Amino acid sequence: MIRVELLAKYIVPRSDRTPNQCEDAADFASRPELHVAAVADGVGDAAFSRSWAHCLVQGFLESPQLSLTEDWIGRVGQQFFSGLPLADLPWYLWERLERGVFATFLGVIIDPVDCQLSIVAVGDSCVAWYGNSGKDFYPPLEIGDFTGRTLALGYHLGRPPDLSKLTVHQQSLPLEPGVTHLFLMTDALAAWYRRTDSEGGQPWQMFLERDQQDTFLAWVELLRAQGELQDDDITLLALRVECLNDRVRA
Amino acid sequence: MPYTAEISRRNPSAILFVIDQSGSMADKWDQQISKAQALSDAVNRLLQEAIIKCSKEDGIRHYFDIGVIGYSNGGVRDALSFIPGPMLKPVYELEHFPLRVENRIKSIPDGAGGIIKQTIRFPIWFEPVASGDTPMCAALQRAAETIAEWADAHPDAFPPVIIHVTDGEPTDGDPEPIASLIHQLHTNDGNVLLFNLHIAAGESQSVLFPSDIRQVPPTSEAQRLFRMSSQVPSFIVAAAREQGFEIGEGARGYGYRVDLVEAIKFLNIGTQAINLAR
Repeated sequence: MIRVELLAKYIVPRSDRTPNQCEDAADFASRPELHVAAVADGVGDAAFSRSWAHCLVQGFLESPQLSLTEDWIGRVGQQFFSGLPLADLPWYLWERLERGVFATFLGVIIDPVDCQLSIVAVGDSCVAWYGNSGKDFYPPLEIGDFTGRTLALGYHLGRPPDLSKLTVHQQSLPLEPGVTHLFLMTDALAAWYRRTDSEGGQPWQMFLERDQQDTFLAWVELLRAQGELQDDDITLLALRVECLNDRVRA
Repeated sequence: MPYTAEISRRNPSAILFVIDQSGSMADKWDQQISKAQALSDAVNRLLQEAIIKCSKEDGIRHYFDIGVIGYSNGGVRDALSFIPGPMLKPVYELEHFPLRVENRIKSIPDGAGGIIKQTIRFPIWFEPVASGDTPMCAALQRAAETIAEWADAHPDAFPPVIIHVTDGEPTDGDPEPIASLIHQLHTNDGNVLLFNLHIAAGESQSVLFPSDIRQVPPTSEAQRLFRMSSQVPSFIVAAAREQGFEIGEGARGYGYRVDLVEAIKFLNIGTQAINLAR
């Protein structure tokens, strides 16, 4: 038996962007057979990054899977193109689509039967957890890995998907009885979390104390002003996961 | 650290091409095409590339101001004067005001199993010109004035890049003092970059990104252009190495007697700032 609650879904655009120009996406879905959450960060120097990030997140929520296959990317890609006004695109956006759309991605699947957390990630979007299941961070990136130049899930107009050059991180772990908090983040916030944790701070506490959009926004602006947080799109998806009894063990 | 400022809509940078359009540019560069025509094609491609790299689904973002100065028998002219405004135009204005447009049909798979036949507009801004003498000093003086004014108005910008392409010697004096003046122009993020590309359809071996004047042929023309060229910053060194150039520390943004293929690579590397926009 498991109870999963969405505590927060905050998406804050870079300071020179409007919310509609923010290239992050995040969402959570709860179904009887499983709970799913995902974040994606559209790569800033490509076009249609926002739409692609949203398609990846929705594609994962509708059809979650740990092995990100080329078939799966292809289906998400078709969904992406079906939403574009291709006939009306100017020449430069055709060029952009031929060069590809890209986003980092992180998805989690929580199995309510055996209290199992499964994670799949490409690039530097991350999940941290804290609570009865311990304290950890995935993918296992160090501070220096947050360079802004990372591998990302791509899809090109007129080319079949190719995942051969990507590193897809996957991990499954049991969740212990009691409460574990999960924090899904895109790279700027993940870098802050990693650094704060490594310096002995309690970054999870900062998240749990900011349970309203406006207090979170004020905190982000303060950290940006202090130079502690990169001025990038910021996304936090916070989940409270409670395993109510021992896992069913095979 | 210089050359680290973000290039964004809040903080755009600038690129200025200075193109020799003297009579000798009518000579063939390779067997097929004149220097003027090849250079026109290359500049148009770079302008297209700048628009593509600055574009998002909501339009073209103002990451750069871009200008083209041509110099020839007719003196020094704004080669984009058909676009309203000052010499350096916001990149989105280039898309709004092409000199002419070529329509090309492309058959493109739509990613969903179908084929789309699409008419794609390919805008042209810069036409080939080859006429008369080589007022290089006047052209660089105009470039210096243009960039100085721009840098004053954009003190925190990523430093502007001037790319000067010529195939000959100036007919209006010594351009080196003007180049020295350009080297002293700066924003808070570093000095303005002046790269010089000397093109030739020649037998003699080309020199690209030399670090030492001894790598350059011992002619006054070749050595003067070396001294007129800025040292290449590290972000361009990295890009040049990625493209297979053996480029050492302290290399200058200079190519001498380069052929068409080398020139296109040089121009791509010289405009690397286009890839830094966010």
